[in-house]
Amino acid sequence: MKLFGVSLQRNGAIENNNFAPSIVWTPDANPAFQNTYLFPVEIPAGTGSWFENVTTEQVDAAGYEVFGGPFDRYFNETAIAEYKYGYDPLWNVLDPNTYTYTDKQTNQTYTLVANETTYGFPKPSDISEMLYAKNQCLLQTRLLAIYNDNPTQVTVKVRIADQSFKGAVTELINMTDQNDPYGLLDTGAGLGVLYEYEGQTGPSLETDGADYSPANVKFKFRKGGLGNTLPYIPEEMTYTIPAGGWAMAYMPMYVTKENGDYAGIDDDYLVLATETQ
Amino acid sequence: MLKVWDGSDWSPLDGVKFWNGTGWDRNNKSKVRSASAAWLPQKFTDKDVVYTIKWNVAGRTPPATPDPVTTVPNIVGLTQAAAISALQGATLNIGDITYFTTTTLADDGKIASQSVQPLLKVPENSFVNFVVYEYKVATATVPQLNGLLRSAAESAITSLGFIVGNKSTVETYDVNLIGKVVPDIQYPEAGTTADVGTLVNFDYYIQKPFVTMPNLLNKAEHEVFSLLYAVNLEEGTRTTTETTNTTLEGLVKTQQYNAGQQLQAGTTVNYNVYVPNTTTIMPNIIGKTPAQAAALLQTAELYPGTETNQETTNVSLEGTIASAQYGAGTTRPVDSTVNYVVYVPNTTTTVPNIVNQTTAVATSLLTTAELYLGYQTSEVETANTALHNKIASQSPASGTVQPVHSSINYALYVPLKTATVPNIVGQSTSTAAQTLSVAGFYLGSQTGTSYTTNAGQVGTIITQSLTGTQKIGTSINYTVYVLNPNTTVPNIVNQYYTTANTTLTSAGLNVGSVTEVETTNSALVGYVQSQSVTAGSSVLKGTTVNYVKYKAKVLVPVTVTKTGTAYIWSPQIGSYYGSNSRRANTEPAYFGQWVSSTGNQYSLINVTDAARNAACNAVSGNRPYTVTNAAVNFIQGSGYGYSTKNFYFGYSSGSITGMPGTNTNYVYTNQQYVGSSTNGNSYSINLNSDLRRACFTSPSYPLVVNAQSTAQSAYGALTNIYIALTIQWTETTYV
Repeated sequence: MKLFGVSLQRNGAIENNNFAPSIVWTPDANPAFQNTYLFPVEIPAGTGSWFENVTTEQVDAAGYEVFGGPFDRYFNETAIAEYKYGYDPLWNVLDPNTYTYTDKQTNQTYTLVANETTYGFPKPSDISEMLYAKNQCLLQTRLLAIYNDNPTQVTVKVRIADQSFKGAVTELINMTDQNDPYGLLDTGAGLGVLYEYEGQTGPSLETDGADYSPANVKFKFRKGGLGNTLPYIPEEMTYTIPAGGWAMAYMPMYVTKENGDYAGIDDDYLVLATETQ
Repeated sequence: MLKVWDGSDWSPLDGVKFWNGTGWDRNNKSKVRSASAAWLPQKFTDKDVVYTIKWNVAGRTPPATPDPVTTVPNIVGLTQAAAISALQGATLNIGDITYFTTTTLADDGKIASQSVQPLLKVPENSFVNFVVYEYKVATATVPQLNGLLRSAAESAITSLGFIVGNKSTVETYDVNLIGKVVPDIQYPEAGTTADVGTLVNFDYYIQKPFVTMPNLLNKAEHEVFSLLYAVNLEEGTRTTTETTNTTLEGLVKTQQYNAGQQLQAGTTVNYNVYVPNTTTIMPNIIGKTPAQAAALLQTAELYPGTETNQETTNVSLEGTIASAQYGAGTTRPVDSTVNYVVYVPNTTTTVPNIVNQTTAVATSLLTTAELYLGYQTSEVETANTALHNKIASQSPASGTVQPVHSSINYALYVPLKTATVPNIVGQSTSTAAQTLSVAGFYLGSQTGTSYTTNAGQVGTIITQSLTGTQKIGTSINYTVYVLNPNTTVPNIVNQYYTTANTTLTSAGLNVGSVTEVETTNSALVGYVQSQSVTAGSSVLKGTTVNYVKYKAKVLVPVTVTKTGTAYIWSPQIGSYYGSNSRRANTEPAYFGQWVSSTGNQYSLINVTDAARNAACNAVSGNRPYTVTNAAVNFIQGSGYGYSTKNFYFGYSSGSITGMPGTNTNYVYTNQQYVGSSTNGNSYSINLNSDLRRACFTSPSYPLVVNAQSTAQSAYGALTNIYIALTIQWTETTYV
């Protein structure tokens, strides 16, 4: 098995900019559709060479702000309204408990229903608010290409075997036939998102040579969206890939800063591993 | 599985060895080349991989601490609404609000304390918590009054701030309860919380008064209820005492309590009343006459009942009572009846046992029992001399009851009557029966048989069960000879089947089913191969013996179609141009325009019938054959004309042997388009069916090679020509 990042050009630099304005959309034979090509490149080994180093400005800009709303009334003064909270890993775990909070100013009570919200702090009032908060914490997104260099079809598990959970947390998400409700792969305001090719669970495979080896293959994406409807941290995906075939995943990374004193993290990391069945 | 081409067919191989230069190796691996000329399988890696991806995350900008700009107001003593207004007026946020209970009504709803001290400078929108008084009336727990004396209960109520309420009394005779509170009746209940000043109600016990027991003795029974009810007493259980004194009947005999005794109100009083007697004592009437018994029963207020009889041989008892229905001294109802039994003279007697007695003794025994000895009805023979002239049996039997003076008949033992059993061995059963009958005996049962092969002995007696002196009339059992039913199975293997049938029939056996087995040895046809029952074994006559005999095997012809390839390596070649000018009689075979002066040319490729037959017969083994395909193989000669060209095959009518100097036969060109060919390349062209029939069926015509056009660009020549003929023939074999 081999894992690859993607580039906008054959043998080009690995793409680190969330595919933002660099992507060029080309109309299809049916001008209602637009496509773009991406190419596999080796994943570089140096710190900050694939997932970029995160700057103070990016940390300040990302996160979920507890402002004005009911939070400072549901919770006491330990919740500082104007601070931004980062992604809490427990946001992705459904909470089976029911909570009732009272607005200190109006005495009105608010009930958070069991299994409709998650753990973590601050506790969003429902799943949709959690997804909004999660989106506010998004830092970077990377496309991952999985290549089966075996002579036979295999079933392989691709998983995030370990990660630090300190400065950032990363998910591994499969392509599905659904849209991207959170816009995680949005290439920029109004520029569209990468979308699986029509009728396929992933991009269309095309080649510049005689075969679909990493040296020749290219991935044709349609302008649209990718799926992510999973409310928990997806860290493991199982793929069945034919001999010499490809599968696609993408990996959104979120800031995990907490309220209060927070220092930068050197060598925040994740470990990607495959396990052929 | 692997297959190799052996020149005519694919042959399967079980395994392959590889020559490594010095010897044959096993367990080598091999590759095959795919249609795309790639060697398969290709190298691959099937290992899983691990990637570690790192990045750095910078710290965020710490938020600025807000400056204290507002003064905390003093809200202690204000109402909650006024306090919230004061805090919001000072740009402060409302924190946690808690409540503190007070019994002072004037403090109700006012602020008791605040979390941030008044006049302290704090940042705007800081949170200030505060505590609010909540007024509540004093309460106490209602005391438990159960079992307390009334005075103690009142002290317990008033000591807690409650007020003694309504008190009711309950009468009781229990001296331990008098003056105490009735349990579980107080209100409010003990343990409940009630406001101070609440009325507490309860009940307590007081003494209940007693009543005096009246005199009931000798009072009429109907007065008892009135006398007791008047003093609040209850009528209890009434018991009775029987009396024969009629003046006492209906009067009270005894009462449970003495007159004048002090009793609790409601006490039940039991009493006893005289009633007339209803029973009497049974007198002893055994041994009395019925008249005496009637007098005794009348005195005891009883009556004689049914009189029955019982026979007796004791004359002194006749006329007296033998037994009564009830024993003397038992209690009986007055005026009831008593049945009894009276002795009467006997009319029957029990037969004594006279078996094994002489008739004199038997007569004595029967006389004692008021019976007579009757007739001798039969004799019983016995060899026991001690029994002779004694009674063997009696009728009626001993122990039965018979009328007095009846007779008992009997059988008498007498000595045995015997004779000598005659010898019946060797006699037939009919003769033996007559012999025995004359001597006073009977022919009995046949108890066994023995086999004999002598027909004259069959049915004669072998042994008899008894001999010598025997009781006359005895049955004599016997055994007889019977014919042996078995035979020995003969050996019929290798006998002709008609002989075998006779052999089996002669031995008393049946010929069973005959099955056949094929043989190619004509000398065995019709002879027996095997028999179902082993020769020499002993079996019952009539047993069926099956056998297998040989029959001739019939051979069937099978025709197989075979194919093969015959090669004709050097066909005759001749090239012609202009007006049948001869250019060469050997390869190459030219076609197209050579030079403008000579014009167009063509070549003949001739396979004579003799040459074709010689090549094909060598393949078919001289069997008749059919040519199913003809392939012309050649190399497009180099150095002739342009590098690529197009040409045709045709034929020249007329069978020839040896290339003529001038071809006078008709030449039919352009019969099969060969296509574009390139100088120096090898080709194999299959002829169409018409050309194959014209050139390779007797009489065969030469094959013509001609150019597509007469331009010099079409000029070319064929070299290295040979013909591959695919032929088909049939072969017949017998199976």
